[in-house]
Amino acid sequence: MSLIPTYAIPDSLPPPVISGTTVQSFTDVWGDVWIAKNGVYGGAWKRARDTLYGKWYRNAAFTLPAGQAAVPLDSTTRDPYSMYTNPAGSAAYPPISGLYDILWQVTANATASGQWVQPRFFINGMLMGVSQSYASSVNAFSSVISQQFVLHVGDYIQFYDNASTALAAGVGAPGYWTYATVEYYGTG
Amino acid sequence: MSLIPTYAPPDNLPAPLTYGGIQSYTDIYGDVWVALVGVNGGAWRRAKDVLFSHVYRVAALNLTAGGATTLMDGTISDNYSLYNPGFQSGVGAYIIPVAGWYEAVHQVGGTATAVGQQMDARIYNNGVLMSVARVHTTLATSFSAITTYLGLCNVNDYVQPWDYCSATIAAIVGSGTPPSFGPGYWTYSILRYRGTG
Repeated sequence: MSLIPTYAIPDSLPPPVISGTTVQSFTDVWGDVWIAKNGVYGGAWKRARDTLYGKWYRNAAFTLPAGQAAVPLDSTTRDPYSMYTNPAGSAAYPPISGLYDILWQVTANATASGQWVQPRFFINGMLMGVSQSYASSVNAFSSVISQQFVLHVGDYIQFYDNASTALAAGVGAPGYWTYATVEYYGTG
Repeated sequence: MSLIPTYAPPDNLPAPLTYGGIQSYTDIYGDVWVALVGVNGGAWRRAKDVLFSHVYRVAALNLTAGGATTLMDGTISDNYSLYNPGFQSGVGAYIIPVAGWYEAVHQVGGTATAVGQQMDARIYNNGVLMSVARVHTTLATSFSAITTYLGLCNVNDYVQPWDYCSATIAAIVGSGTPPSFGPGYWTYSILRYRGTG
């Protein structure tokens, strides 16, 4: 046995963050990552794995255009650290490096059989996730992507769709039809 | 600095690994750590942070009528070599190195040749079907199925992504051309350790 402690000597967290606008991170001597932000939990430090999570959805009526386009998510279920700061581009920005889970579901209301929809997500402008579903009747239909990636500060995730024709999105609160989640899982 | 301790009493990790396969260590607080020669210098890392694999299909592949494993031949992340494409003479599987609670995701994309074709994404554990999602196509073009699985696994359990189709269907494989298209966005699988269970 060496003398590398897992949770040995006490470690001290920095004082709460009471200025600035960005997320601060701190890695303790045991490798756990903590984050804090001015105005969030009083600026107190929280374990990133416990708190770094966002869920957004589309509430207002929205037409998924034919072809590829960003889907602006206009409502937030949870996003304490404000990752989703660019609704027009439908972009979320992970504030610390690590392994993230990305989930993206799009629902459309078909007007004819054979129509299709693809949720797509991009990382730094590169397509990294896609799936595709078809309508077999004039009804709502959905498609979902679930992926996990190691991301870095400055990376951004964008939530898009690609549809065979213009279709009304499934929308509304609390966001079970068209929504996205981003969750920090660990250091990766 | 304030005096808020993150953790209190002591424990010791073993020395970094210098030989052998992946090892695990459970500290006195129940946290599981892993180490592997050549990964982070053999240093111990929390399994929850690092025990993760994301692989995808590169080479052309026909999804056959009936079921078969979806052999993955490209890697996005797999530092601890969880995925073994040579398992059982090349059918491929994730081999569980540490007992615990695992999450698996499997998506398969295919190009239908006729209306009404069916495709499953499936996940097996030790040869037992644990999760399945089925889709049908209403056009002869691309479509996809995705399924997830959360389950307790033991050391040396083998977790396999499968496909199951109504007819032979070409999988959608490979990578697009950067910077617009990345790797493995149609046919891929993921395995991640989530805790002791």
